Formats: sequence, C-alpha cells, structure tokens
Amino acid sequence: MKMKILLAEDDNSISKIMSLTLETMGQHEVTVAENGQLALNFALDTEFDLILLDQMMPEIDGLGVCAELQKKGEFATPIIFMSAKSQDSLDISATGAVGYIEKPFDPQSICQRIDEILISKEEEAS
Amino acid sequence: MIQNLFKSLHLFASSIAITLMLCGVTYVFKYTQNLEAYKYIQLYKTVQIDITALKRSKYDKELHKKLKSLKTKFTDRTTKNALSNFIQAYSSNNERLFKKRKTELHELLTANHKQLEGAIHKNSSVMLYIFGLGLALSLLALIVHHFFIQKNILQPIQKLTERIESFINGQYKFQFSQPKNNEIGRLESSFNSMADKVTNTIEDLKELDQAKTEFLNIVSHELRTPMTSIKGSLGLMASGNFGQLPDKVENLLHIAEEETNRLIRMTNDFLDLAKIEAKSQMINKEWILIDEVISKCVQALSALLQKAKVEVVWEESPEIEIFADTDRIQQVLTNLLGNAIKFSPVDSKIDIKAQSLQTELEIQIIDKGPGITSEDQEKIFEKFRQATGPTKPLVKGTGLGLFIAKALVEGHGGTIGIRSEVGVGSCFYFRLPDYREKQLSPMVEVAA
Repeated sequence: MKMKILLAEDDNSISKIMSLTLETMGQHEVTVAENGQLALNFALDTEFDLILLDQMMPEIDGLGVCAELQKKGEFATPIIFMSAKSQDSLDISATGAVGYIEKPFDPQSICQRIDEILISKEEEAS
Repeated sequence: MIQNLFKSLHLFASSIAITLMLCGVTYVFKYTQNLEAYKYIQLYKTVQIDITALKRSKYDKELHKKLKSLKTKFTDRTTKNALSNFIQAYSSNNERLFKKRKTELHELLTANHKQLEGAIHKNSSVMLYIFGLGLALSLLALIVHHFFIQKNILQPIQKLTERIESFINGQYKFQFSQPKNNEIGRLESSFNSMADKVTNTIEDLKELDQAKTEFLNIVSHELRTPMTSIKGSLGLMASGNFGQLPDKVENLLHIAEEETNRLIRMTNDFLDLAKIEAKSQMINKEWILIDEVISKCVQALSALLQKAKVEVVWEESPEIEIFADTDRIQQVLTNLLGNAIKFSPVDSKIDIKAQSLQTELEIQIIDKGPGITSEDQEKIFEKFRQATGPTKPLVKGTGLGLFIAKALVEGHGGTIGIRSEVGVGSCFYFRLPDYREKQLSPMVEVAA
C-alpha cells in the first residue's frame, strides 16, 4: 500500500538511499527531515501515514521527537525507529513506537520489514 | 604509646612481685621465729617437769649434771641466773633457799613460756594478714592488667579485624576517626589510607569503563552509518529496479554486496568482542523457556536457512526453563546454528536437542557437515580461528563466533564443547548449570 512517509535522518547518503528505496520498491511518497526539530515541525504540520525516526540526530534525537509527539496526545501516526543498535535492544514499548529497524539494513527487505511491523501492529490492535 | 603501656604494666607487675616476695620472706621469717619459740617452750617445759619432781632430800647427781648442761642452752641472763641460783640451792643444804629458788625459777619459766606463746600468736596473725594482702594485691593486679589489655589492645584489634572483613565484603568507604598516636592508631591510619586508595581506584575504573562504553557506542554508530549507505546503494543497484545490468557488472555488484555483508558481520563481531572484554555490560538473568530461545533463533536465521536449503529440526521441551540472559544465550545459539548452516550440505537437516544431565542442561546442535579433525577441535574456540579444511563454508566468517559463544556460555557458569567425526558431522554443545523443569509448583522453585 502506498504511504506518505516522513523520514527523519541526518546522514545525506542514507536519506537519499532510503528515499530511493522506499519510492522505487514500495511506491511510497517520502519527505526527508534533516534533524529532530525539522522532523517535529513536519510531523505536527502535515498528516503522514508513517514516521521513520533515526535515533541519533542533531537538535532533538529520535526518542526526543517521539516523546514530543506523544505529548500532544492521541498521536495516531505509527512511528518506527531506526537504530545502529550498539546498546542492547532499544526498549521501544515504553516510547510508544510500533517497532524498530536495525542499521545497516537491507533495502530489499526494508519495505517488507515496514509492512511486517505495521501489520503486526494492526493485528495487536484488533 | 603501647610500649609505654607495657612498661608501666611491667613496673606494676614487678612491684606486685616484690611485694609478694617480701610477704613471703616475712612469712618465712616469722615462721622461723615461731620455730625458735617452740623450741624454747619445749625447753622450759622440760625444766619445769624436772624441777617440779625435784626434792632436795633426794639428791640426784645425774639430774644435777643435766640441769647444768641445760643452763648453757638458755641465752637470756635472767633465766640463766635463776637456773644457776636454783642449781646452787639444790646442791646446798638450805631447804628454805631451795624452795625459794625453785618457786622463783618455776614462775620465771612460766612467765617466759606465756610470753613466747603470745609472740607466737601474734606472728601467726601477722602471717595470715600478709598472706591475705598478697592474695588481694595479686588479684587486683590481674584484674587491672586484664582491663588494660582488653581496652587498649584486644578491643581495637577486634574492631580493626571487623572493619577489614567488611572491607573485603565490599565496604570500602569506612574511615577510622581520629586514630590515636600509638601502634593501633598507626594501623587505623594505614587502613584509612588503603580504603581511600581502593575507593579512588574503583571510581577511576568506573569512569574508564564508562568511557569505553561511550567509545563503543560512538564507533558502532560511525561504522554502521556508512555501511548502511553502501549496502543500501548496492542493494538498489542489484535489485534491477533501475534496469538490467550486464552480467559482469552484476557479478561485481554481488561481490561488493558479499564483502559489505562480511564487513558488517565483522563489525558486529568486533563490537561484541569488545563488549565482552569490557565486562561493562551487566548480565540480566531471568527464567526463560528454552523452546522460545530456540524458535526465535531459528526464525532469525530463516533467510540463511532458505539460501542454504537446509532444515532445522528440534524436539520441543516445553517444560524446560533456563536462568540466563536472553540476548546472550540467543547469540550463542545463533552463532552455533549459523555455523552449522554454513557447513551443512544442501537438503540436509540440523538437529537441535535439549538434554537434561542432572546438574546441567546440555543443548546440542548437530549437523551433517564435513566434521572437524581432532586437531582443529582443540583450537576452534580460540579467537580468529576459521575452518581449515577443504570444504569452504557457505558464507565467510570472522573467526570470532565460537570465541564469543564460549565467553558468553562461560559467563553463565557453563561449558561449551564439540563432538565431531570427519565425514559424519559435528555436534556443538553447551551446558548451563541453572535450569529447571517448570512442573514444580512456584513455591518450591528457588532462583539460582
């Protein structure tokens, strides 16, 4: 299914590749935010179907953005974290995010992975 | 100062000893006096008996002689004179004089007798008092000495020992307040310095550890970020979404992809290794079902399994739980299973078994790969060891997988090993000491 995705990622190469991947492999529409603050602004401003948050970003980091969005209460857009995972399994259950993707990731599988996470979230909810 | 204490105690003890000696000497002296007195009393008695029976009418030459000799035994003049007078009167014809002298002598002897008895009595009293005094003084000295030693030596030593014991048990922060200026005080000061040093060293180590962890996190992020881009780019190119590529270019791409994956695996392994050696990660043990661990692991490796066309078979043991850190045991299994998959021939099966061995649980991963020579078996758990045989693994490894698995298993108090036969296959196993069968009621289970 086609989605409007907000990608918060400070590294240019990764954001280019991810956008390309998501657009070509998943036919999604991708908006890139280069730091946490911009990501927050976009998220509050526009309605997205999915938000992909990089953990390590300048201004506000991934967890921070997530917390801010949750503050506004009833934030419906699902959030997925991306992490370089050196610290053992980011405990996402507390943050309100629906899942996380480990870096480095395989572009072939990124779309699949996203779908998996969203589907299991729906299953959980129902 | 304790030396002074001892000196004063010695002095005290010496004076007690001397007093006791004097008491003893006095005692002996008085006793000797008494002996002398008793001797004289005997003498008086003898004479008295003799003269009482004497009658001038019956002159006894022998008795006369005897009395003369007795005279020499008396030392005091009065008695000597009285006796002389009596002897004279005895050998004279004067009855009246004889009777007079006899009475005089008799009275004198009686008086002497009584006097001596009085002296003896007095001596005995003195001896008794002196004995009592000596005893009392000794007892006092003993009690005082005891208290001194108790308070100034035994108690401080006991306190010091207690503090050292709690130090050993991890209480580094205690300091003795105001150590005195003596040997015990010096011990206390030294203890304070030592406790200080240990606390500082621990603080330094903690800081160092934190720095290491931070470094690891940074390195991890910095290495993984470009790798993500490279992997991503290569993946997109290879996906064919941007047009069909000439064969040679495709090959090159595949090579690049393989090596990138290898780099990623290597980075992961190195980081794991660094984590293990840093010992900074805490092991979070909890009771987990072995089946869950195995199934998660198999799932995680499903892509590799598909690629290798190998199947994993395992018998469920739904009751068995292990007390372990989930992530770490998962990693052990992943490493061992990954190896098995890499070396298994196409269309073969890999067996996973969990076997209870009384005190330990043994988990086995059995493959039908080429097997490992006994030479290699000794070395494979070492760092950077790879298969040396002619069969190449499906995917190149880093040589750290088994080393890491070994470290993780041993961190749980377990053992890891291999049973293998060339041409038949290999069984990699690891044993964990903390396991239980869930059938027991919750109250009986005791956390390991």
